[in-house]
Amino acid sequence: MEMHALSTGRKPRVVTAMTMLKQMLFQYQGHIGAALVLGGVDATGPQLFTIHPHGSTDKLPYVTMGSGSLAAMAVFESGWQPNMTREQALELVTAAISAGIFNDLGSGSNVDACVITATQTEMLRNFVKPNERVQKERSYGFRRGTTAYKKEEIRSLIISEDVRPVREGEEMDTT
Amino acid sequence: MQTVDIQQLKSGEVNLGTSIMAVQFKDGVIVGADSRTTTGSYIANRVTDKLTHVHDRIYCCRSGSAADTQAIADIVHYYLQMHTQQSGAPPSVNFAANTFQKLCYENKDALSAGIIVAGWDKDVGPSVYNIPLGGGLFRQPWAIGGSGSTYVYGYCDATYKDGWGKEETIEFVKNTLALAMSRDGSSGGVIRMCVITEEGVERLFVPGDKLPKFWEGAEVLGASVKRSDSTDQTPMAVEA
Amino acid sequence: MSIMEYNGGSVIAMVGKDCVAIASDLRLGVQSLSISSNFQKIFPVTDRVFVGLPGLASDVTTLHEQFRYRVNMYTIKEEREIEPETFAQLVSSTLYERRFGPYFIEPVIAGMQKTPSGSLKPFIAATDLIGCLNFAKDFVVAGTASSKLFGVAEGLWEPDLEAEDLFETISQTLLNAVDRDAFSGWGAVVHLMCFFEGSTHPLAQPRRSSTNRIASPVAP
Repeated sequence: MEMHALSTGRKPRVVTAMTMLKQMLFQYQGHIGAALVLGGVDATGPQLFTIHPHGSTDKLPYVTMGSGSLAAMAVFESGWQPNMTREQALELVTAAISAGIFNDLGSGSNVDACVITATQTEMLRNFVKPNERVQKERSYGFRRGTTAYKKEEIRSLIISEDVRPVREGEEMDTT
Repeated sequence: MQTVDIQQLKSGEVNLGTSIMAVQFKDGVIVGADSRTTTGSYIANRVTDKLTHVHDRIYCCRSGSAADTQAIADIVHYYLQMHTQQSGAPPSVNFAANTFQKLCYENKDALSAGIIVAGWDKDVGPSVYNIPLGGGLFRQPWAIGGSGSTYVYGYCDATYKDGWGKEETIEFVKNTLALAMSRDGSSGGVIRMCVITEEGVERLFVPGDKLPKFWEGAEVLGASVKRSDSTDQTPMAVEA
Repeated sequence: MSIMEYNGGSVIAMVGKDCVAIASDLRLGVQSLSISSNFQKIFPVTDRVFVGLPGLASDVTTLHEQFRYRVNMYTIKEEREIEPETFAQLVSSTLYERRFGPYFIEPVIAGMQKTPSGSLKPFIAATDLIGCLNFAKDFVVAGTASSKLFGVAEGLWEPDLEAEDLFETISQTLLNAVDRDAFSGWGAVVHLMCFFEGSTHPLAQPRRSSTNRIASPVAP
């Protein structure tokens, strides 16, 4: 993508990324099992695509992919409306992913989200953590010496070194 | 005995179950399609556009594998652009159809694509070409395709007449597709149509709740009852 | 007949407080017939990195040689030893090169990673047979007993184990898991890497050292 942007001298477009991905996946005839959701903002505005492993694409206002996509799409179909605000969209996406986490056995753990606008991209890693591990109720630690062994080999490795600068405060000549 | 093994869809492949058609009339052609794409029994897209632009006055209707038909349409679109730049004139529908046919025939072992090419050109005016699974090429006054088409061959044979105008042809396409969509589980959603004439391309849209209605079994099931919009209907109670 | 289960064998790695451990069984079999009770599956990469290669025995040798070659080339080019995380990326890309005809190995990587402050922190990772990396914070498992290892490790592992306790935890996890796996067992080996910060130097400056401890535990 970077190379394409450099050679054309234009800002990259979402359809360009979509076309490159679909052509690669089609070449591999579905043997690369990648199912993708592609989203972005470019000169033509915000847009979303789905790309299936065999190389087919769809352009839709709301998209889901993966084993939890049925659960997530159910949430979108009942909750989506045109021209939502950033907060509304983020809440709906979180609800859709949560539906996957709780109802699909193949999905789980935390919700990651990503908000893309014309000016910046915000990665919200572990945006919601509905499955935090709690303190174990009981420890099953073994007493030291439980495990018998036949042979032991210990190697001590000193890995630190003292570096003494020959001359202080002189920058490397990089001209 | 040798059996012909028609290449089936690869497992998990996105399928355009599909009802598609194209009809020639006096001043142009009308192409139409349903809007359903499926993966197995799941509807991956309920508002698909299967009427794909390949040139100013040439469209194709896609059926079969979504990936295969998109790739073919993209390649033909590219060829037609190149052809226009090099020859300085828009391509004929015949040229576009032959380009599709070549791709479909030479790669028939790897493809599952049933395509209808239709459009208007200066040489012959309106024309419709059918390219079914094996990669044949047939010029027809009207063509239907996709899994839904099997249900409506009889209807088309009984209804179609030469020399129709635009409005009659639109009704014919709309009715045929509605009948095919109601019988075929792999077809459904909305009807999309394009009227292609010398003047330009006009897009038509029929929403899923405005489809023409035919026999729905009222004799067996009783006439449908209009639900009142009164507010005394309360939703079923469910546990929190 | 699954190729992944043809020779048998399992590997596990765990993180502790300023220490990390990697352990494997020693069995080599041909399906249900046991051939050897001294088959090495864990290999040193540098003083601070170990890699475990459970899976098809012929590919254990091939991959070990492949990694040795690539790590040597890295060391020569970079004039420094490879870090655990970098090595994990090397493992991943080596395996993905064979995406459509993979090596039947699920590598486990354990090591002590340099931090920007100059100290060492434990690092573990595992990949599937085509190189999909899994950086875990607690433990990783692989091999024919992986499902059992997951269960036992989930019960025994706890955060911030001291080196001695980590040794007991990983040993008991491995031993009790392979006892319920027909394709793993016949002895085990544990590698323990620790990080001490002491003032043993004559000039009384803080020194850092790391210890590799190799033990062959037997069942209790």
